[in-house]
Amino acid sequence: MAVDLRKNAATMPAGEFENFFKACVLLKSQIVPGKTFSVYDQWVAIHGCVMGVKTPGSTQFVNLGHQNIGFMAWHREYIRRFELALQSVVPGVTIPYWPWPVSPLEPSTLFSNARIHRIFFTSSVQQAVGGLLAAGRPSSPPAWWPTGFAWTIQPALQVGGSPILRRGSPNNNWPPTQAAVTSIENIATAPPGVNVYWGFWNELESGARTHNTGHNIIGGYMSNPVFSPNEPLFWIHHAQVDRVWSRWQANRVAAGSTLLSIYPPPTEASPWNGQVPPNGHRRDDVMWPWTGGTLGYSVNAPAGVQTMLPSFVGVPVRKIRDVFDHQNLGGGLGGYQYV
Amino acid sequence: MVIKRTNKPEAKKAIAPKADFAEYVLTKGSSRLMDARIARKEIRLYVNGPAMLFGSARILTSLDMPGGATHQAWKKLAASLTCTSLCGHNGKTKIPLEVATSRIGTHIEFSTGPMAMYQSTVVIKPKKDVTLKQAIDEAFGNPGQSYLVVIVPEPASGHLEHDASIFEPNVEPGSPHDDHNHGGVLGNRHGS
Repeated sequence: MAVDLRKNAATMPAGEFENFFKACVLLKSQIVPGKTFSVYDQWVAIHGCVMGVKTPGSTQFVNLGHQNIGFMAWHREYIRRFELALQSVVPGVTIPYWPWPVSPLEPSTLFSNARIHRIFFTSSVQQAVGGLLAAGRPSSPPAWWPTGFAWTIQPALQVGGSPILRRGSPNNNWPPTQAAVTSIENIATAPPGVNVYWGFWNELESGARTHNTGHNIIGGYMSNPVFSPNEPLFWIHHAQVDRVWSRWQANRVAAGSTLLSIYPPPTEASPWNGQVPPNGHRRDDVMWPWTGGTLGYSVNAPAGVQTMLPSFVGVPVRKIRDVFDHQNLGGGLGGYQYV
Repeated sequence: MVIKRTNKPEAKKAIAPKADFAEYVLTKGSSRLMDARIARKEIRLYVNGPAMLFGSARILTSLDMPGGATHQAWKKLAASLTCTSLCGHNGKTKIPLEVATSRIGTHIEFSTGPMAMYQSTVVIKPKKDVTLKQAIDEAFGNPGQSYLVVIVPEPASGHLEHDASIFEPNVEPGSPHDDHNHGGVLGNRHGS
């Protein structure tokens, strides 16, 4: 499998960017046989269900995709698998990355109708998305647009009953400067005995203007705790998160570390609270739902969401450490680079 | 300690300088003491996981009662400030600054905002066009001594993932983000 190239959403050729949206639309219009939901919806359901997973032998539900050190690894596996699903409908397509420092407040190709449309900063009212997904479909659909299709949110994946995508947030804490992003990519120090990854991960997921902020400033479904992948911007945002991680990894390896050494060893306790991370976040842990069908996992989500989960029985077991090298992920996932 | 203070860029033709602000990130391992008595007109708390990771915060002082930290002074301080959550998930929410009392004294307590998994901004600022330091000093009677006033964040008391209440509707996406008051301290605590 060739190494795919993920490109800058602001500067990549328009046709390639449109191909990403085309692939999302085609997956969204592809109904799972015998069901009433789409293949795209299944990916949204996975993100919802990872919020509360009980691993074999555990007594409580844990968020296996967020708020702990497995955040980046889980999302790397998740968006790569989604990317391969996109390629099943549009061969060769890859997920663009959102170069965060490009300000939505200034005119740009990225925030035009042809690409990701607008983000309504400081808006007191959420507004319907325009451009390609205006009210679910563009005013002049391209030739590839599925007949009669409109991008609407599957009822089980709605919170609050909104069937269409909207954006808008009074939170305008954006964008980060390029210097700030570069600074994160160069985090190299930690207190004695603390793996450098801890601080890097926390900054990338929860810093002043990074992953969490990006979700919140877009608003609407993008800021919904469980169903944010309903908004296709999710993938573009997370490609940037993954890119920053990959660049940080490259910087640390260039300085003499190994990919394995820049993730806390399984027994290293959290520097926040002295506790070893829960099962699912440690370096050698299996990532749900890619458990190879292992029994003993349970999910704490509404039945209507759980029933949408695709089966991963027969898919090789995937561990956190399996995704450290994004150019060679193994498990049939190939690899990718950022250009 | 992660403290960043930033000046807003001034408008080119501004008659008076724009208000400036201090920003603090509330995340795992971030500072547990944040300076509130600052010569800035606004504090922005970037709260990761309001009501999920962080639940509330207290405003405390190193002043004692004889030094000016009376119950009446705390009430005056609370009345002189506004607190607002800005969130893509929940919109704009006024947060009450509650004067909390116990047998040992008084402090101010406030919620870090309605539940969200990502990051919202809580803005605290004086109602009058003065700095936080001026508002605090005035409330405490301009104490003739050096003293601290700090914001102390508190963790949320539960994990919303555990009982799947994270899936429950909060604010209808797309509904007007009118100011609505459901940001009380107790209203956002979630027992597990």
